[in-house]
Parts: sequence; structure tokens; C-alpha cells
Amino acid sequence: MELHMHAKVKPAAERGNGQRGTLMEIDHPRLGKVQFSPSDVVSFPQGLPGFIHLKSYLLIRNEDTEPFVWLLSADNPQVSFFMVNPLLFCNDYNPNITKRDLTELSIENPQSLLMYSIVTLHSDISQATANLSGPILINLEKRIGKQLVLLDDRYSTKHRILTA
Amino acid sequence: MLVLTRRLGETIVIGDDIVIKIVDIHGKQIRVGIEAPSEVSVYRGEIYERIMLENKAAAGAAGDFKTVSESIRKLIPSKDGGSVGS
Repeated sequence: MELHMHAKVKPAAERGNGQRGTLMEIDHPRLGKVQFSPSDVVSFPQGLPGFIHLKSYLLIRNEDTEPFVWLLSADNPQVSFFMVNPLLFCNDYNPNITKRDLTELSIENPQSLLMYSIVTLHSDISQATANLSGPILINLEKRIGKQLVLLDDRYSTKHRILTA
Repeated sequence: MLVLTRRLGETIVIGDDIVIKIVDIHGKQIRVGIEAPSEVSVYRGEIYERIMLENKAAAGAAGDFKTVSESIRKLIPSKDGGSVGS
């Protein structure tokens, strides 16, 4: 498993060896045991709508599910989001990001800004949708994240992603 | 819920630093101006609600993550991450 932002998923063979230093561990239903240190955590000071009490997340890339990435709650392993860069399937996507949003995210260098859309899966995989109305922004350097609630109606919360 | 009647141009003040003003009335549509400090988030209620419901659906969804990933890899040429910067 390839991981993003230094979070480590412990391979099955290494499990149960005890913890090193300040490493913490969560047991995710899909990814298994995920080890991380406090510096791996991306803070969402306002939480996410529906999950406002969960403010610490891990951003994880798994080779099997690229180009998707995982956003795991560091506090509740039952809460995780499957996300994708919306520009991969909606190349004119251009949400209104305000100066205030950038200030909240402490963005100084636009290169450190990552944007994702949360994906919702259904039993019929062709029905998978991405939420373009509430993009997730992450400042990789400062490890601050925020879900925007766009004020305009241009984008749907259920944009089909597997329709060619 | 506190219910107040306001006329065009009148305001409601909440706390020391939030001002809500009735800017325009057109039939059933009312334009509202909001002044609030930057740490106060202002949303359109129905959009916030939709995103909340979608987050809950997404967080709890089981599914074939691997097959979806394979399918989207066939549709898109690159394996780019979420980078926005040019």
C-alpha cells in the first residue's frame, strides 16, 4: 500500500509488534491497520457538514484504488471518505474559492493546495457519484483542510463519474 | 423560533457584529444582505443540508472500491492527485 503524507499502513506481516515512538494506529474496515504520527494529521477546524465534531483526518493513497485517495477520520475509524481530483473527469470545474477560504487554509503558495471531491459508491458501480458542490480543499504544507459549501447552484452533489 | 416582521431596508442585528438587512423584495423572493465577521460561516441552508446528507451517505457507503478505481483509470489517461496548482 502506497501512502500519502507519511501516514503508514502497516503490512499484515508486521502487525502486532507494538508501537514505536509516538505512532498511533487506527483499524480501518477497508485499509486495515493504519499507523500515523501526530504530524501526519490534517486538521479540519470546522469539521465536515454532518461530522462537525471530527476534526482530525489522514490523507492516504492506496495503489489499488488510485487515482482515488482516502480521507480517514483519525478519531473514528468508521468514518472515511473516498475522494478524487474532480479535474480528472470534469476539466472545466471551477468552484468559487474565496480569499477568505484561502486565508482559513493559510494558503501562501497555490502549489500546496489540493482539491478533491468526495465520492459516493453504490452497489451498481456505474452509479458512482462525486460531490462537486462541496469540494474538499487541503493545504498540504500546513495540514489544514476545509470542505467548501459552494453558494451557487452550478454543481451537483451527485455528479456521475463513470459516464464517459 | 423568534419571528420578526421587517420592512424593506430594515435590519436585524445578532450579537455585536452580525447584521442582516432586507435588501429587496420581489413577490416570493427576498434578497438578504449579511454582514458578519470572517470567522462566521454563511451558507445557503438547502445546499448545506444537501452536502451534509451526501457526506453521511459517502462515509457509510460500502462498495467495490477497487473495481471503481479500475473503471475510472480506463476513462482518464493520467493518475494525477488533487493538485490544483499549475
